This record gives sequence, structure tokens and C-alpha cells, in this order.
Amino acid sequence: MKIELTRIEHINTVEIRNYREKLLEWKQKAQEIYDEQRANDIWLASESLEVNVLFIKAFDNLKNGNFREAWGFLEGCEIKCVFIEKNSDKRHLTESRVLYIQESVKKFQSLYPYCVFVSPGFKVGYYTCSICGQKVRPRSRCGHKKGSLYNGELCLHEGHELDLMEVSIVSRPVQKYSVMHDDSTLDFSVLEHLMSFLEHAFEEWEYEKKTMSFPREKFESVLESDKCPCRSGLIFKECCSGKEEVSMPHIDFIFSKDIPPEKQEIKFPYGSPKDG
Amino acid sequence: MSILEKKTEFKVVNEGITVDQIVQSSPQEIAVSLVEAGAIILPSHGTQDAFFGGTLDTLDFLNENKVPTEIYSTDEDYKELALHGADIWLGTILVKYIFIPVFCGVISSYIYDKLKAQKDDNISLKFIVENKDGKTTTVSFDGKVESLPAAIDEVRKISNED
Repeated sequence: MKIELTRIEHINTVEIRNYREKLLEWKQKAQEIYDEQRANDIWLASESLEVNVLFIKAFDNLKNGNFREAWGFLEGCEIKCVFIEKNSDKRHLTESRVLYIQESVKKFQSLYPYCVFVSPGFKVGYYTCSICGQKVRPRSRCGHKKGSLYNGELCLHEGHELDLMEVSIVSRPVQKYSVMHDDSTLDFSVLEHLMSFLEHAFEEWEYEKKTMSFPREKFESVLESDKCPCRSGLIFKECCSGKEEVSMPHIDFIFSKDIPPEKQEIKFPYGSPKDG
Repeated sequence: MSILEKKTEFKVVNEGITVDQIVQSSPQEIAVSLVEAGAIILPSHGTQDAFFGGTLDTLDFLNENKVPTEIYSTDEDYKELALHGADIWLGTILVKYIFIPVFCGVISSYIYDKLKAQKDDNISLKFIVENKDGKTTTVSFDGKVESLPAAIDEVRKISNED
């Protein structure tokens, strides 16, 4: 039986709820009789379903302009995909759409304007294995490997006696949710433009970053004291203001579906002064 | 964000803690294993303090690939730093002279194949490399992975010196 799962309204259907409950029930039964392969297979099916649900939530939030919420869901997908990938094969990753989700998450994340994050640094007294509870020590290991599956459970290392030592500001965090920005000050127009074309989470799309040149006259609304549109970091007066053309970063979006001609127009971010 | 980008730092200094000093200052219960090791992973700041997160993965990879490696800590005292920037912190590794060639190959494999470091990733490491005469040279690198080969080559050179 094929269950549809592409839009937000699908994630809470009776079929999906029943399937989730069944997976949980089957896993528990497999665990009880130590049928490890079956328990692991069900874990994989369950996690793959959950990452699809998370991705649809991310997409729905992107579509509705809830970019911070979407960012959190995208990170959730990213983390789940790492563990799924470690415990499956390419065929499963393709058939379950996990590979598609992994690649799409990266693409969406790369279009965000976020660039500053908070990063805590801890001293960890010791770690324990989530499977057997044994302390993880250099010369004394339990044999369970972090990230691997054991009877349907994922082995993680749990930190104890944490001592917060520092809080850093970084551009590349491990915890992507620790965004430092006030979203109301940021420009999400690239994402908004992309989302205006996409109807559901699993549409194929790509993008290409390039530069595009425009005549100087099109930048009348840019003040001499504004940052130069070429993104050099200099002010306009000290950069491209005197040139005949200004080269700006530009993104081409590529879709597998036909786009109506009126939507193919290049979106230029600088209106003329009379536009207000 | 350019203000957060670190400048590359690459230093080669003809001094550093020696194997003898490490063994003499070590807890007795691990001294023998340090003498027998080909490489010793040191804490993040000198000989006290905690080890960078991922140290046990580094330890296992080196041991599994014919570089007998030890950690300068007893099991009870072992602590890690969990730093949540996505930079690669490889820590400080003391490498004994005869293991330099195999160490260079294995550590490169660890960085590029196991950690899947990309050229744009930041990496920080310090190798204290034993010379033929028992003194040490410290090769420290803090920068982009794409510039790392120069640091590995400096380590390799030490085994080629007469």
C-alpha cells in the first residue's frame, strides 16, 4: 500500500499515524526476542519516515516565511540523515528519499543569510555509552561504536559532569540552531523568491551562483554612502559608483517544471528612487 | 563573515617537550605504555587540561593503522573538551622519530578520508616531532585544510634529515 507523504497535510493522516504505531510495536517485539537485524531494519524505516516528516515541516515553514522555525527543522533533518546514512546503504537512502533530503537541506541552508552563531565549549567529566552505560575511557571500552545500531537502538555517548568553560561566536557551528541574528534585520528575499516557485517539498530544483552586470543607471536608489551592491564590503562611492556597469552576485534557480514567462523575469533588488 | 575568519598560522619551532620529559612527568601506571608508543596524544594545552573531542577516534584510527599510540592520561583522569564550533581540533601529538613516515600517511588519511575534511574547513593541530638526536621540533598549524599539506611536509622532512 502506497502512502502519500509530500505535503504538511499528509503528516498526520490516519495512515501515517497507524504506520508509526506499527513500526514502534514491531520494533519492541523484535527487541524483546533479540532479533537484532529486524529491530535495526525497523529503526531504519522509522527514522527514515521521521526525517521525511521533519523535512516536510521545514518546507512548510519556509513556504510560510517562518525561516527560523524552518532552520531548526532543517538541522533536525541533517542530524537524522547522518545516523541513517551510517546504518544503511545507497539503495535505501535513495528509495527512502533520505539522499534527496540530505542534499536539499544543504541547498536550503546555503541560501540563508545566517552567518553568526553562538558556540558553547564544555569540559566533559566523562562519557557513557547509551547502550550499556559503561564509561568511555581510553583503555577501557565496551565495544559499542558511537553511531552504530544495537538491537534497534542507536549508540550515542552521553556527557556527564559538564563544566561550561566558554561561549564563542563562530561562523561555522556544530549546533546550527544557535543563531545570533535578529531575523527582522535580515534579508530572506532569495528564499522567498525560491519558495514562490515550489509547491511541495520533493520538487526538483537546483541553483547556480554567478555574477550579473547591470547598467549604472539601474542603481539610482543606492546612495553613495550605502554598501556597494557588488558586495565588496566597500561603500558605493569608493567602489562601483563611477563604473558604467555594476556586477552583482546573482542566483539562477533551475526547475524541472515549466515556469511561466512572467515569472522568469530577473528579480532586481534595487528599485528606482521614485518607487519609494 | 570575514571578521570571524582566522588568519592561517603555521609555525615550525626547533624546540618542544621531549619523549623523556613526557615519560618522566607521567603517572607511573602509564609510563611503560608511553615508552612503547610510537605517538602520544597530549592534552589540549600542554600536559594538563582536557583533550579535544574526537581524541579517542584519533587514537583508535592511529592504532588500527600501525601507529601504536597512547594518551597522556590515566583512564580516571581523562576528560574531553566539547567545543561546538565546527572546526577540526586535532590536538597535540608527539611523534617518535621512527614512526614519522607512517604517521604522516595515516594522519593524512584520518583527516581527508575519515573526517572527510573539505579544503575550506578550519583545522588546528600541533605535532611535536622527535628528531634523530632525541630533541623535538614543533610544527603547529591553524588554518584552512587546503593549506595543511605544507605542515605535513615539514613533519615528513624531519625523518629525511641526516
